[in-house]
Amino acid sequence: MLSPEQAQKRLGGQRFRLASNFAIINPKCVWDAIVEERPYPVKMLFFISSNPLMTRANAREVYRALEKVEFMAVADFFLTPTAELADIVLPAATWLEMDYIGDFWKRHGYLLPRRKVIQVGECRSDHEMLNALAHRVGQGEYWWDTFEGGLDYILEPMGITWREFEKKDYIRGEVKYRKYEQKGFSTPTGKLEIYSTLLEKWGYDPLPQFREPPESPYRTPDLFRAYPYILITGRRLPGFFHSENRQLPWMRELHRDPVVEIHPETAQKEGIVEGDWVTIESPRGRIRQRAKLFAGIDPRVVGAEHAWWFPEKKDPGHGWDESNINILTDNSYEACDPAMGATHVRTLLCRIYPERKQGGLA
Amino acid sequence: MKKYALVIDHAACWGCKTCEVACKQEFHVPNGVRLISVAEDRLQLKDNGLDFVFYVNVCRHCDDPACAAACPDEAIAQRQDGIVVMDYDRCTGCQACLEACPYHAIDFDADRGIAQKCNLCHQRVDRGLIPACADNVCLAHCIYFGDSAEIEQKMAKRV
Repeated sequence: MLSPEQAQKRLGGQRFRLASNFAIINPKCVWDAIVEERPYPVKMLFFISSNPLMTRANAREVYRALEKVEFMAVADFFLTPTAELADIVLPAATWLEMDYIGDFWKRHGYLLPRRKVIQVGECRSDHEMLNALAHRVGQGEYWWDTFEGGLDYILEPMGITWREFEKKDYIRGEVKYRKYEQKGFSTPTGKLEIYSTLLEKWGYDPLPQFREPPESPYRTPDLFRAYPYILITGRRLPGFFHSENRQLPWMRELHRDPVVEIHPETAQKEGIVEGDWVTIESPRGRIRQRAKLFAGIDPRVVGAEHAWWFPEKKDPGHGWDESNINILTDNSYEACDPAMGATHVRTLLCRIYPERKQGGLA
Repeated sequence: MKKYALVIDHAACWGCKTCEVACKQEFHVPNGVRLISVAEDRLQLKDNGLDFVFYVNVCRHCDDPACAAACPDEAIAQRQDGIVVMDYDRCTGCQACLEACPYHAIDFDADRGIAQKCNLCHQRVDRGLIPACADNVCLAHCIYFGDSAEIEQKMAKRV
């Protein structure tokens, strides 16, 4: 839909040429465009289902960008630290408050009509917001009069409308196996490509290669002497999802604080006791989490949780920079995957020590 | 009267804490009060690798309940079917039962100024239901309730 001139303006499109074939932009390209106004200034941000202050690498840079941007709107269910920085917060409808087609990526063939059961206040679905916004900015011709038209469009290949579909329990399409035997795979050669002809076309090494991470005991031995542990981030917790659900007292009763896992031998070496608040420090900054001694982790590795904020803290920051592991992560272009622009969040170097040492308290 | 049994298979528990949530949904006890709780024991090294151990704590409904003996207000009593029930209307919040319980299975509800413990969902059991925690919510299927002989059979069938 974009003209070639317009497509040229995609932030980071020339640098991360695999990502530019998806709807993905390396976040730092956006922060740089706001802060340094290169290659052009970005003046407006609209976040949907997103809490980048907690979930994106180099959180301090994210903060600077969000603070500077001229206009910022956030659609969310809760007032997250990101939403607190917005000019306008739009209350988003949850999945119970909107009609939609439950396709669950269609892998099992089932399609379910997910009917709206309740309207809460003035909440609107993200889809409805985008559809309405498209009309306001003069792109209405590419969208629908109302979002229900979008649902009809999705269902069109089945020859039914949303109004018809919502009366059904489900529809299951035909399930076919081994489709590749007739049609091949969806690659230029039709083969399963270990040698990627697309990566080659975009100017990348077509074969998978091992490369030592940007910082590591082998790649940066001097740095490793100062930061002697490998930090992996994003330890998953059942019930929480990224920065979600921290506002639920019951969930917090089950898991009150951010937890960093370290091997008991490492803990002993660093004078860390189970349950201690510890400082985790990288060349980018330092944060606090609670130590959990865990014999299942390699003694050279430290495993921290991510996206921790504290809704119970009533100041607008909600403690966004206290335990946020992304204060420690690196988003420099050189450290990102060259094709996709993904940040390395599991291959960092850090030091870890008891918090009480820092403050001089016993 | 037939006695009920509540059996928790600790070897099968993998610490999801769904029982805690089910209990909370049933009784809406305040934040910090837990009538059933799952604690994580240290990971242990076994012959064939690492083994996670979780420990579920809940009222044992003892044959000779120390909490009932300690309560000066006779708020705790054992029913004929063995369920030890605390009557919250009679509790004055002295916390003697918390001290007396050898399993630390009683919590103090500071909001209401009373002690709270697992009453084995007697309000459900008397209606022919099973306790909320045992009602098919346990993801590892390690909480059993009912007749002890039947439970033993069920557990024996499990590999």
